Amino acid sequence: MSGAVAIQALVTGLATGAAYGLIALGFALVHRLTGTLAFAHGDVVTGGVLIGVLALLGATPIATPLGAGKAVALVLVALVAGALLSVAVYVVAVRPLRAHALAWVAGALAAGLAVRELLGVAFIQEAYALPDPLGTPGVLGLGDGVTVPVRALEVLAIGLAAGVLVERLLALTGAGAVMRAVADDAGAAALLGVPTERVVLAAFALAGALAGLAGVLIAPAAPIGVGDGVLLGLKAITAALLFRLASLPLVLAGGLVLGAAEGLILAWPGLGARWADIAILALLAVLAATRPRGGLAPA
Amino acid sequence: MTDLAHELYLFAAVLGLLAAVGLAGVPVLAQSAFVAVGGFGALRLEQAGLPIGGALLAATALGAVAGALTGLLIARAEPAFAALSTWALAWLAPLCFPTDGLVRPAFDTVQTPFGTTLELTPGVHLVAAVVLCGLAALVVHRLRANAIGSDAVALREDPELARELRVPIAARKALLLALAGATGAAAGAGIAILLGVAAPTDASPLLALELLAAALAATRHPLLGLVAIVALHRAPDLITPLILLAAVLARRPLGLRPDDVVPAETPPLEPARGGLEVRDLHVTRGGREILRGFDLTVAAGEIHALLGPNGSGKSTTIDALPVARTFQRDAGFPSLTPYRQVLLALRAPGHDERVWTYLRLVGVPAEATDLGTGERRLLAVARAAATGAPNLAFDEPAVGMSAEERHRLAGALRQLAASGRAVLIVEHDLRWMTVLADQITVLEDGRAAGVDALARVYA
Repeated sequence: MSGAVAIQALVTGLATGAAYGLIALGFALVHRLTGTLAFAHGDVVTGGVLIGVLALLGATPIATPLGAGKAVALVLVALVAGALLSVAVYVVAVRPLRAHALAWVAGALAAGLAVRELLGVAFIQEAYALPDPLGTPGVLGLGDGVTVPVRALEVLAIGLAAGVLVERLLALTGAGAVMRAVADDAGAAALLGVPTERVVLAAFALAGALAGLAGVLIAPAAPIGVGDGVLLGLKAITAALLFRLASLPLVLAGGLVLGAAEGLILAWPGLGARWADIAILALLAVLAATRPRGGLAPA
Repeated sequence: MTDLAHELYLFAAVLGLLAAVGLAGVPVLAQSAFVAVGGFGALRLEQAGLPIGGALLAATALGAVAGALTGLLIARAEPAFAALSTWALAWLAPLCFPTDGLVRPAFDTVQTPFGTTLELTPGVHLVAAVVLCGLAALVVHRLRANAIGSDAVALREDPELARELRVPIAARKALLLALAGATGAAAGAGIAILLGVAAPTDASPLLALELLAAALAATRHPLLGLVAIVALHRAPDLITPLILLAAVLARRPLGLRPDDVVPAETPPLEPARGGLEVRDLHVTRGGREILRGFDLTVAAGEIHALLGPNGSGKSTTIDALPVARTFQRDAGFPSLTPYRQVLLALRAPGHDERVWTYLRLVGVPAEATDLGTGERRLLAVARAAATGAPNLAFDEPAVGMSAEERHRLAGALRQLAASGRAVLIVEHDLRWMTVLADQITVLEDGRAAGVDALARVYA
């Protein structure tokens, strides 16, 4: 692989990684607050984007430039749809089954399947090329024939900014402190008058909104279909587990590292998408199985 | 007929999963991967020159190995993370097989080892699938009555206590998943031969979820598992999530079959030679030094009380000692009878009359189903003693006991000490300990203090 290709692969990978980081942040948040794993989170990502597309462009979207108004509206609808989907999955399929891991795991997976089946009613093709709310930015020359797509830089910037903003808000504000209190000891927090269930719902909504944003950032890069959410979600979970869920900044970092590694595998001669998926899924199987016992370290 | 044979093969895969899911409580989501191993394995091995029967057996063995390795991989994982790990494997499997699939002639005529020929009609497959289901059900039936079944239930209900009682967790999970892997692979091979094709779509991760859901339904009644898998196979896709949820809601904790317990002669308590000596023990937890140079000597035949204020490090001391111990919390396996729990602690492969020794030591009935708090704590003492460890430590065993139960506990501790064991007990009731204990150590500031410290500690 030439240096120019490597730099391009790395930048594109980092951009994808920033989106993974946003999805992973939501996953980590939900895990921290409820002890559950958001198995349907990947479907929330595709669900958020596709509901946004359905609302603004209909069921047969084409990748034409959007006006500024529609671009902003698409992002907003995706955020809201992601938040609502995430909360719905929790309320319908996870909360009633929370007492037993066997039950809520299967419940969450069934909910993810329901999201896919319902979206599949409207979106019948295997995949769709979606319009890009960021417009058509072109490429940036770095000299010596090295070019990077400007879109990747924008996605990286927006993704990182959103991730760091949410992390900082959770670390520094009262709302963040309330969430940490519920995460550390929901019983004690409830005794102190914290409406724990509302905090959990807020966390699911925030996670869903982050997923929707990640979806909008990631979807126009390649054709996306109803069935692509699960793998996307599993990659984000891999990112979250990469540094053992030790802290939210490390979850974001995990996204970047995983995205960069994936970008390099994608561009490596003789490898490609299949090997990238195989490598990440194998990594996830090991990371999940060997996760140290006990909850997260305090934030 | 083809559809029914297909569904019965899938039901066999469900039954193969039942022990891991229902007894051990491990949400295995990789069963579709094992089905794929069987289907692709059998067809690939046949292409390599094996007769189809041999290819089927070899593929089944491959499935067992894949299952055992998966069991070892998730040996230490909590259920949810075991689910995540196996879910990743379910998504990994279709990527590892050729995308255009493998084909062979369906309705094939094969040579049997007995010199005759057999046409593989769907009817023949139906019989084969029923036999496979029967075999899987028989294995589950056996597991629900033997020591491995007890171990599995123990893993589900209290993994920490199971580890303390030396249940070989990795080996048990490997065995249960090998069973799942073998049945899944045999079913996958049967389906591939039935349909004449092994394609990645036949082993989609969705199948893993459907098989898990059917196994959850089968915990209620095995035939409900069959209903679930047939419904999932035939219903329109849009309804699938609802059937999955219904199957999940049908689940119940799978228990063991009742034992035919015939009270036997009580052999005397086996003698043991205990003795415990620690010097200069230091333990730091979360940056706080809890024990700083603690000394303790418990002689054989001695009941030794460890006293001290709350948070002085009494439980921490027990954690650090080479002993069989009880927990301060109310630990136990609610689905196992006291008889089974003591048998499990004895690590006896079959029935063992020493069970009666330990049950009678604490006076807990063998087949009781709902024990009170005090009796559960007495049973905990019996379990720890039944491990055969020469050194025993009991962490506040009398909490929640009636006066009569305390009396039984005291009697049991005296008998254990008299048999040569070294008995350490953590207690708050100073007056009781001055009567019961032969020695008293007071833990103060992370060190052993003399009995004169009692006045300060209990002032």
